[in-house]
Amino acid sequence: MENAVIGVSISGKVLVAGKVKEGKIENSISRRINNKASENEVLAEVFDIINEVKDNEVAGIGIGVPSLVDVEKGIVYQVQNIPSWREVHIREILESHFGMKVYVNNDANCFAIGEMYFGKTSGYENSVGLILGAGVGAGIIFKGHLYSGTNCGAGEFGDIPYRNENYEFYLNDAYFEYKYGLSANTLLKRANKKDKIALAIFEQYGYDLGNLIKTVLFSVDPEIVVIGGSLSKAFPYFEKSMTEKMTTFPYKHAVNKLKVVASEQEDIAVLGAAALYFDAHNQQLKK
Amino acid sequence: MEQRTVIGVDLGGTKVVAGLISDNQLVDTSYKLISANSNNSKDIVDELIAVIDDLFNDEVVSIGVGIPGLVNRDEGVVNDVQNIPSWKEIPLKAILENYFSIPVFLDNDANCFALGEAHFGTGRGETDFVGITLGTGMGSGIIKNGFLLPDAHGGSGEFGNIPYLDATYEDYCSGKFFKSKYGLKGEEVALLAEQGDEMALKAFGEFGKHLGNAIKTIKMAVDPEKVIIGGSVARAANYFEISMWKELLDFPFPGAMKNFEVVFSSIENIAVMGAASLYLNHNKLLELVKHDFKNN
Repeated sequence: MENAVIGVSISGKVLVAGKVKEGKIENSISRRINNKASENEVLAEVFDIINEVKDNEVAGIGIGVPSLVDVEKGIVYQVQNIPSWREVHIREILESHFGMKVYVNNDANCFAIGEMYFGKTSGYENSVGLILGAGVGAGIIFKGHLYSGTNCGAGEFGDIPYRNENYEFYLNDAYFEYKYGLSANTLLKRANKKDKIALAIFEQYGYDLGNLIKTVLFSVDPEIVVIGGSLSKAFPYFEKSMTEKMTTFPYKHAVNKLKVVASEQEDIAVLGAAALYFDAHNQQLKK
Repeated sequence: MEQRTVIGVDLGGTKVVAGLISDNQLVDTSYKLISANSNNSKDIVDELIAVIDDLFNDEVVSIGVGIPGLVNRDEGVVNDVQNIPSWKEIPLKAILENYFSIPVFLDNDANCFALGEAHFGTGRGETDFVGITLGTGMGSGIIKNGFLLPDAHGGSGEFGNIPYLDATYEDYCSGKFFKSKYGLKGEEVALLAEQGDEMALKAFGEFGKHLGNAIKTIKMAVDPEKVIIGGSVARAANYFEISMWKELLDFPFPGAMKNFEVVFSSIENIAVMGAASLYLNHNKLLELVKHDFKNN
């Protein structure tokens, strides 16, 4: 029998909470965060939204936050777009308020574990979830569980030096505005209409992404990489050049076995946060 | 580690070394030069068997072999070895098991180095670290919870192949760097540095900066507590350690470097001992798999 779990995603601008049961979101609410508010005011908004989706089937809460997270202690640091959240002991605060288990992790790790439980990497033991959007983040799954590294710093592939900057610089959505004066969204719309310039821009994007995926492959050797975030919608436009770049990989075997796919799960932020509960629960069963 | 008698083998580009391990001690070794350029893949297989045969006795319960190339550890097949052109898709596990009639385990040589450090070397008692060998090339293996990372195809930790500047990390962080940039072997540059030669010291300074960047990349990718560096280049650590740390301390999350350690290790035959302990790693993987079945 499977418990119901609340997944909460704090994306900076929007707060979303949903009750997840048997892989489905039964009830969800999203609203804008008043991100200029104080630490406690934002916390009160989190309490409220959880209360609105919570019922007596709920056994635990998972929270995904775009920030550095101390997963063991459940502390989030310097949360993007919420200046007042510099160091919030969110697990302790929510556990004492709601009297149930709370798990917190960064949004990329939530994405990776969410795709394993509810999305494209289901059935794979070793995978990487790569988010391409406002930043570049990644979560790593080994043998069906999240891998966080010593300081929960594993999977920071975006910070790896690349060309004159790092991977994040060339692969985040603001780069298009910076380099070409066009937003990622505009380019995506143009590419949908077969605009040659937009297609060329995404082709270049695919080459850079191919190098990043090679770096991921050389580092952690997954079976599958799933791409999420706002830029995953451009997957059809960069898939070809990305694959072309990857086939320069010296070890053909590993490349031929590696699958790269785009996420199709619209609600992955909430599902992924809820999956933190299942990951922790299943890991405990093993011990 | 259990007190078993096992044989470990380290296959290099020019020679093959085998070691007999009993009661956690390396008690005997044997080596042979190999005919790497032979067109017949069987020649090197025969040389490998001969070296193992030198040490083999009835007490030996398993054999582990470290390969300088890509290995499918589950199927026990050597896919490709750069320095041994005749070796393509060699079912080495089956060949050796057939000959010796005991279990045989294969893995990449850098993984064997890391495992050797974890069980017998500088990393003894450490649970999470990355082992890097710097010699004619750059190899590395990731140790998690005291064993090799259970990745998909045994290909994790190939940090040397990651794109860096106009080439890869291996081109800047191994003997290749000294060869291409200064036209000298690493050992020659080390000798010059010993005599205070300015060019040699400058070369090591640059080398340390590139190595620092490689370690930063490793830290961002898998976030270990510690990095253990071995291989011939590690012996010259005095000449590049400072420039390496200067680069490392320039890390985007300074807090992450607070307890981070880089240590140098030069234990002879550590990769042989690591190869010998591959059976332990195999048992550990089996355990993980059994657990998974129990829960599903």
